Amino acid sequence: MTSLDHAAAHSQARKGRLLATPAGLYIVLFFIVPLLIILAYSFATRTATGRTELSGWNLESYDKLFTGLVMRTVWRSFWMAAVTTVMCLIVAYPFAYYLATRAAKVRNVLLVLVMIPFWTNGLIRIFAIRFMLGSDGPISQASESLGFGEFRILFTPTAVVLGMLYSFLTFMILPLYVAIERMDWKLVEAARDLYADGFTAFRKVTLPLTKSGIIAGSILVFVPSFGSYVVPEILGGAKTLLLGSYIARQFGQARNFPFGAALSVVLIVAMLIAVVINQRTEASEL
Amino acid sequence: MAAVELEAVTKRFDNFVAVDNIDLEISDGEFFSLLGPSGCGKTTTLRMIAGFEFPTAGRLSIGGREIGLDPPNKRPVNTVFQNYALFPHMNVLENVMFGLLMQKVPKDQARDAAAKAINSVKLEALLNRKPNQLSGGQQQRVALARALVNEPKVLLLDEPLGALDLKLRQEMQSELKSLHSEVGITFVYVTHDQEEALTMSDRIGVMSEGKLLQVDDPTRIYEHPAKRFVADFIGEINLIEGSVDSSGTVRLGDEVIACASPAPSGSQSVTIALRPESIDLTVENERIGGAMNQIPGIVARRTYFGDSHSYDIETSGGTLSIRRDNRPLNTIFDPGQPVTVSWHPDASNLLED
Ligand SMILES: Nc1ncnc2c1ncn2[C@@H]1O[C@H](COP(=O)(O)OP(=O)(O)OP(=O)(O)O)[C@@H](O)[C@H]1O
Ligand SMILES: [Mg+2]
Repeated sequence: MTSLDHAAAHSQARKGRLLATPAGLYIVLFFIVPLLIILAYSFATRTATGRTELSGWNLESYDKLFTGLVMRTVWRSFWMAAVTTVMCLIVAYPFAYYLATRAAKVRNVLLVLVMIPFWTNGLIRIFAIRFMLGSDGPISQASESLGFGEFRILFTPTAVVLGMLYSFLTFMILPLYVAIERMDWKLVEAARDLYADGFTAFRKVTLPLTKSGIIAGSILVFVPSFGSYVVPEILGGAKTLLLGSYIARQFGQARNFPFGAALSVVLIVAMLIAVVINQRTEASEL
Repeated sequence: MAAVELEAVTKRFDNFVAVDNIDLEISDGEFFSLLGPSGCGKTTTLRMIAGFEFPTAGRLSIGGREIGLDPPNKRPVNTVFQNYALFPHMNVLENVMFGLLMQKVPKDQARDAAAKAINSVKLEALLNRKPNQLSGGQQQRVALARALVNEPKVLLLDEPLGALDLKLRQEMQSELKSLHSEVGITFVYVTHDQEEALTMSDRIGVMSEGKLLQVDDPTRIYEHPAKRFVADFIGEINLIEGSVDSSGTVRLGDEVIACASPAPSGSQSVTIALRPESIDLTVENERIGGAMNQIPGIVARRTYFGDSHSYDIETSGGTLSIRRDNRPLNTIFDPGQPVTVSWHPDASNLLED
């Protein structure tokens, strides 16, 4: 390298750092700082009146995590997020496959159709679902007029899973679509050439080769489902208490900020673990 | 018995005719090459034999059995894909075992057969490597072993050496050739490299724009091309217009010449094809024995190629390009020098368009 090259590389690097500064600032301001605040609160003290004192740091809030109610809530949230993820996968895979195998023109139209509900306010969509599932909604009315009686599903865990399925389906479709779309179809042909029937070729080649999409989509669905707040609030009723609502309650009625913060830390750690898993699998694919 | 037989096979994509009414019979054990420029329909033809595409019209048989709409997994053929298409999530052994396992061969038996096939392409040391840990040449061998381990009736190869560098390509050419005679399987080999086709094949089918123009052994393809396209596509060649009179005598400019075949009756002009290396040059008016064609000419240009000289010779029928080996005693001619151009009648072919 000549000294001129050196200078060029140097100025290039400086330019890179300069360009990255706003992004770095953004991350610090909107992610790191709030995280640190939450972390600090989780060690703070709650006074008898419900005020939070940022002194007398202690682990009390973390102790409270190991009570039955919390464990049950976390477990229920985990379980429902898992069901939602699996259902999303089952619904999204055939669709993403269909999407990825269409001609470019059809594909773009379908992609836009996938994105449109995604651009609509999530709250409105959940209220729409609530109406659909409600006792005077179209499904219930149809079932009543057919003589099956009233359709009771609203305010059940099933309704919550359906709501989350609908809310987060796009997060599953898109990574799956990308993975299937960039797969080398020659490999499927090779499998067929080597005496695999259509389904076996799918199982032995397509599925393993789209693993990255399956994992990415699952994490993108699982993480917001695990901490979801709006959907269970609107569709779940009182019986299905989930982690998201429970945390919100600590900052609301219960006025126990430190405990709410500790619960949030749990949630964040769970998500970090998911992200790390994702990156591990991605790295091992290379 | 024919290993592969195509009868009036046509393949259309929408309105585009990719393969146009091809008749072809490939015999058992033959090394058959499909040769032609990019886009002429070679891959499409191969894909129809493999079962990835179905003919729009015509009949296709493998081993004497019409295969019609059988899916690829029901056909006794295997393919070596252009970019190998090795399964990236499986190691070498698993790749090679795949076809056997799909055919329900017991696992340990499949493993033994796969190991043997891997030995035969000299990759026994790399059994556990993933494809992306192999060089291009090694991937190529895995692809071969993966196909051959199934002992198909027909092995289809789509430009299998296209991605390799020249030296490796030449090495693989001779390896493929000896592999072919060892296993006795019919090879259908697609290439756009004429040299590859000439050196390896028992017979060559030359394609252009979906049509099969000529099917012959390499010697006949090179020395007696039937069509202008075939002559032009393979090697260097002089294509010159000659005239034909009512008695069928062919003239090149003012000179009467004899050709490998009689001129088609009723034609007034013909295209004469003449390879540069089949033409001889001598000093003016030197007598040449035998029934050689001889016409006078003048050296217009000489180009040095190391192993040979190339001359452009002006004759009354047009400019002829001539190649002469660079041997110590060969006369070297200078521009402006009058010469006699001569060749055997068999070397001048009359072409259809
Ligand atoms: N699925 C398809 N849909 C539409 N046209 C196609 C399709 N497959 C091939 N073609 C067209 O058919 C023609 C022949 O294609 P083919 O792949 O057989 O050519 P080829 O001789 O193998 O060329 P190359 O040497 O470049 O591989 C091309 O013009 C190609 O564009
Ligand atoms: Mg091709």
